[in-house]
Amino acid sequence: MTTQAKKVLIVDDESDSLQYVQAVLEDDGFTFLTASDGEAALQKAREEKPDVIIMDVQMPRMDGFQAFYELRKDDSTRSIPVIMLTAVSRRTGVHFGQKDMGDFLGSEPEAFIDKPIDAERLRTTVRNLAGLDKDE
Amino acid sequence: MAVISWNSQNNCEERQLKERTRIGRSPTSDVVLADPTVSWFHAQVVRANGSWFLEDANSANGCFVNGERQSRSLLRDGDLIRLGSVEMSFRISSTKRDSAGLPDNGWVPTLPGREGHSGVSAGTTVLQGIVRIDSGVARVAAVSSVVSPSSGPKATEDPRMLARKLQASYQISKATAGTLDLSRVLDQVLAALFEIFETAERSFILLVDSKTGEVSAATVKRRVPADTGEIAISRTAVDQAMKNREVVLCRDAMTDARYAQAQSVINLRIRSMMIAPLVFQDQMLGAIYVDTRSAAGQFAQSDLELLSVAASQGAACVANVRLHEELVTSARLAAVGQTVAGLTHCVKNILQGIQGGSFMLDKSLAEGKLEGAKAGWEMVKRNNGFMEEMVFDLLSYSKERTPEYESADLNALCRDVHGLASDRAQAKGVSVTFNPDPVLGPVEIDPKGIRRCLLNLVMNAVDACAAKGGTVAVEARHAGEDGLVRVFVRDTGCGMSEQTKARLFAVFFSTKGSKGTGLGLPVSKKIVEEHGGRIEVESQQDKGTTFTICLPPKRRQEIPERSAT
Repeated sequence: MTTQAKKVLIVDDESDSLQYVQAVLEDDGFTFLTASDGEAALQKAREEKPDVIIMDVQMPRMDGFQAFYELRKDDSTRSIPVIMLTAVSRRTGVHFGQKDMGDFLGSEPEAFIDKPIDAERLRTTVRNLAGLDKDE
Repeated sequence: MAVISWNSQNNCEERQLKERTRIGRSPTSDVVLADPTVSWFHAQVVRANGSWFLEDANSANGCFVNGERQSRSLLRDGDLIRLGSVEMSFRISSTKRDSAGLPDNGWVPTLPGREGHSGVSAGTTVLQGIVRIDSGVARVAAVSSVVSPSSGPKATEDPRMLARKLQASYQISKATAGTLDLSRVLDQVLAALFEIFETAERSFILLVDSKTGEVSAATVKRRVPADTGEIAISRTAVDQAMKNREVVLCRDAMTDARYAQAQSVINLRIRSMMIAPLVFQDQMLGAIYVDTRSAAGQFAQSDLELLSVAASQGAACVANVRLHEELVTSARLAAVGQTVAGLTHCVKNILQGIQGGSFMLDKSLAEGKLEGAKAGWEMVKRNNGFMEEMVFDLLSYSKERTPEYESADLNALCRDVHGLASDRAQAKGVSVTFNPDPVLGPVEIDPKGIRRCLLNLVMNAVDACAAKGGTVAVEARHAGEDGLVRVFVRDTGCGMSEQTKARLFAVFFSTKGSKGTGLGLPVSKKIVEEHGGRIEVESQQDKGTTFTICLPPKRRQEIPERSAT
């Protein structure tokens, strides 16, 4: 039995979003790290090696797509599961989604959650990716 | 083959004659004439030894051939028959005509009991209630030697004809120049045709629906507006024009001198008609029809060539309009798509905030945590405010509006925005200063709009400084030499790249990630321009940006003209 708390890195330029995601996950015993853009997220990911990264797509300076690409390029962060959050519906066809990302970047994020975020779905996805529900 | 044709309730009826064709009011007649001056069984046309004879069946009002009462008369091609008061024309189709490869119009029997029919016979199509394409009626009397409507003038042709053609072409292009509305273009083409063909009385344009392939009348024009009768045309003639891509001339009665006294026929039935296909780059767009019922104004071969030139020019105009319509439609769809995507993004972010706040509020209340509940409630309120701003921006952007002018204190307005922005800026480690202008008097502006604009610029400046900290300076200045009042918003933030500058005022363009709606700057620009002012931008990457709102101090329409002295 591990006693170390799982670390979740939440990346969003919207402080409301950061607060909300933490509120959704706070009962699962995670340690939270936050970043407000892609560059900061890369730095935190390399230093802290989180168990899961939850990242918004639209952010200033470096957006979520680019940050994701950089994470997968780097050996030290490649295996960290990533959940992408987006407010742009995949149905509008304007921005690309999970599969397009896979085609384009050579790798797909582990999950893709549309905003507004469904709390239960987010919680289940994070627990799964962090390995909390493996024994159930 | 012989036919008789007559006018029935302003429609042309035509029957092919059999060995014995009985004519009368009786529904059992081969040709039923529902006219009180016609007897129950009035007359018959019989064929004997290769000739056609009209025989009176002891009718009350008699049979007349070319104006003379006859009990039995040999019929010749083009003879005019009158039974009671019904006038008919008799025609023999020549073998020469048949060899032109025209399909037979066929025998359309008059059904028993249908003598009171509404004027639309079987197998007809009524288009807009005005133009009727039916089988029969007309016969093609001439086919233009101009086979392709798009062929240009011939080098060896008569200079006078060439000049008329050039003039016709010029008239059509002049009439339609600068018009991109299809119905207007069609109307102008028809108006120009009336100028080209002085004897033309009625004209219309048939258009092929590009999706269904159906042919329908698009525009009808009459020289005499009181002329409201239906225009019937032969499907055969239309088909020939469109399928063979030929300009056709047809007549539906003969212009023989023998008919001089037959006014009803001349007035209603003798038509000289031309039909030209509208072809553009091998694409069949429709046809143009012109007719005249004046005996003196019958169309000639040279008119066919003129119409061919006019149709060619007209087709180019129609194609041009259609192309433009397609472009407008696709541009509109693209704009709608972009707007929907941009809006979806904004609305979802706001919904996220409201939903997140509610979630936190619920959870904290359930756990009895007052601090968490307060944070959740603040989040809901904040996002509600964002929603309000977004709706204001959207309405401002989408509507043509005139500013709601009031005499306002611009210093006070700046101070108000300064106060509002300072609170938000403080949380991001950015300071905002305001430098009022003591000389600045009241200005006539829409205070709500300008306030929104200023708030947009100041919050943008704060966001530009948020990453590394910095200052935002707001400064008002009274009208200078150019007569414009200015408000400067200077920041020491990240500045803008050339690409960002180029797209600065594009709607839904934002560099602020999920925070930006991409509406703020386009809306601000629109509001200021509605005041007759402008927004100026200077920016250096990594050094900062200055936005300047330049406004006329008085409302637009009341700016006094400069005196000449």
